[in-house]
Amino acid sequence: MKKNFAVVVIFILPLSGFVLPSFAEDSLGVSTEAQSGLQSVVDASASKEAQVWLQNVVDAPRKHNYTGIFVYSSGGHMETSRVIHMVNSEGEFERIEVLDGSPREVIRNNDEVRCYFPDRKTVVTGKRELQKFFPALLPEPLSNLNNNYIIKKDGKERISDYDCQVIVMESKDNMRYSRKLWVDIATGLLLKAAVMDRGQVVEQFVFTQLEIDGEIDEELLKPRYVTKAAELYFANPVSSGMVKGELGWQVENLPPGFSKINEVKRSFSEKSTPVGHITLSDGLAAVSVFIKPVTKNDSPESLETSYPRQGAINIYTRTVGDNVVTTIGEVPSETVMQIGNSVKNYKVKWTE
Amino acid sequence: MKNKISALMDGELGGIDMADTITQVKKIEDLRNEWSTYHLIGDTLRQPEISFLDIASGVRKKLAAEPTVLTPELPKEHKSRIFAFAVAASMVTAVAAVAWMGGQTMDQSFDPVTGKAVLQTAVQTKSAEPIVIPVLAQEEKLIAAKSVPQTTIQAESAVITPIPASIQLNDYLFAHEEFSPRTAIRGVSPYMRTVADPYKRPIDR
Repeated sequence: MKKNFAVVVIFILPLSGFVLPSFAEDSLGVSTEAQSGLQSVVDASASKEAQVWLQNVVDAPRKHNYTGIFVYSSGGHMETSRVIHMVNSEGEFERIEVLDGSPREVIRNNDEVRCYFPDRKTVVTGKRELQKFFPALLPEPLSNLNNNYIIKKDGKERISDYDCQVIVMESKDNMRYSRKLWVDIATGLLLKAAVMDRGQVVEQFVFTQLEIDGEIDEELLKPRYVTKAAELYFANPVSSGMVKGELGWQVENLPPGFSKINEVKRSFSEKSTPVGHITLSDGLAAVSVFIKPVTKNDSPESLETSYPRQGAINIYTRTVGDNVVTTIGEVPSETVMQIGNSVKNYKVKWTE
Repeated sequence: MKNKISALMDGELGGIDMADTITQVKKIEDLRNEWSTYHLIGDTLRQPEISFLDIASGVRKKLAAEPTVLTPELPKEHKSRIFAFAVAASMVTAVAAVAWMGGQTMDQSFDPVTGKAVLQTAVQTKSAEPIVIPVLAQEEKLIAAKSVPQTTIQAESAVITPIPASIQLNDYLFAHEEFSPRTAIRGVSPYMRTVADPYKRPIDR
């Protein structure tokens, strides 16, 4: 008797998945609202599952060592790099060495990042430290992504000999790019990622060789090109002289889903005129708006133009009164133009 | 469409975009003219001696009468510099390091003779395929249409050398990267943008 029961259960389970919805539809006459309600429940749970994968992607680099070779490509440009990533009780340490073209190296010790350009004897430093002072720049909750992207699980694919789950973040409109992520099923590490514009790849990176959770010799994390620090030119002009606050400028017609996350006035050097910098985000893609007075050094065509896309970045410049407004973002050109075109100086209206 | 033709010329279009653009160019005469104009501009700036002869017949006659007009006065670097601007502008951040090294900042005035950072950018970018920016293309076209002699083109080019803007754009690109919220979802790509080398773009016209 018990045996028979077990057999029945086995047959019912797979069948129920197919039979129940059509039964409900045909015999009970369930309204379309209820059906779409059911669909959205299904979507929501699929999306939730996909979000768990995204959270894994976020957490994985803090848990796993890895070394490997990856290829980064955008447009017709392609580059191979080696990465060494180590985690210990003190945090994350990483060295990325570009293997093609001029030698370049990125060294990361937790939040501190240094980019070495040995043939120019230049080191660019300290990029991520800023986030301590601007909490708005910290990663946003992943749930916010749902407003602008449909996040879903796709099939499984093999990348560098690792089985990966494909996660698609499909933009809900044409104002932003879609993304596709290949996530290692065992660890959650991101092994391939692509930025797509209506089905076409705009920018992507992929591991071609990878070892996860191996022992890492700390020597491998030291910058290779640095010999004498005294010979190097350290540059970090962008983070100096910032004042947080209202600029008197506003983007009036934001594309759906975008909101202002930061607003500062900054100087790029001691001598220069401060530049207004507004940062916008839709939870994933960021757009910067820079506002500065027109100077005699500005060439006419630099005041009103847009540039061919490079990788995922688009740039659009125009003048508003006596100011040059430059909009930069990893969004389609229509989006940078819409944002750039709706920048208004509202201060003038009520102070004068 | 002009952007696309320009991109096609620079080998930057792929897939459907490329096929579409080629089809359009085949179909529409205006676009074909655009295509040849862009090539003319490119050729003129690279090798003024040869290509300038290809413009309108009126210009040809004039030039035949005044061969000295053809002598380029500016060093070749200067010409690629005009386009280097667009390349640098659209590059993500590596060019900025070049600019930084020269100690240039956005409000420093540009000296066309001694501007170090400018020269560096130009030299570095020389091997890259130039991108014709639409505005410039328009102006050049206008000039060509008016059958203005070569010297005028040079004067125009010298006046509109837009390198300071590109240096400023580099600063902006760094600032943008720096102020973009970092969701780890982007993987290692933010770093890759930071150090991406723009000078090794394929030359496959």
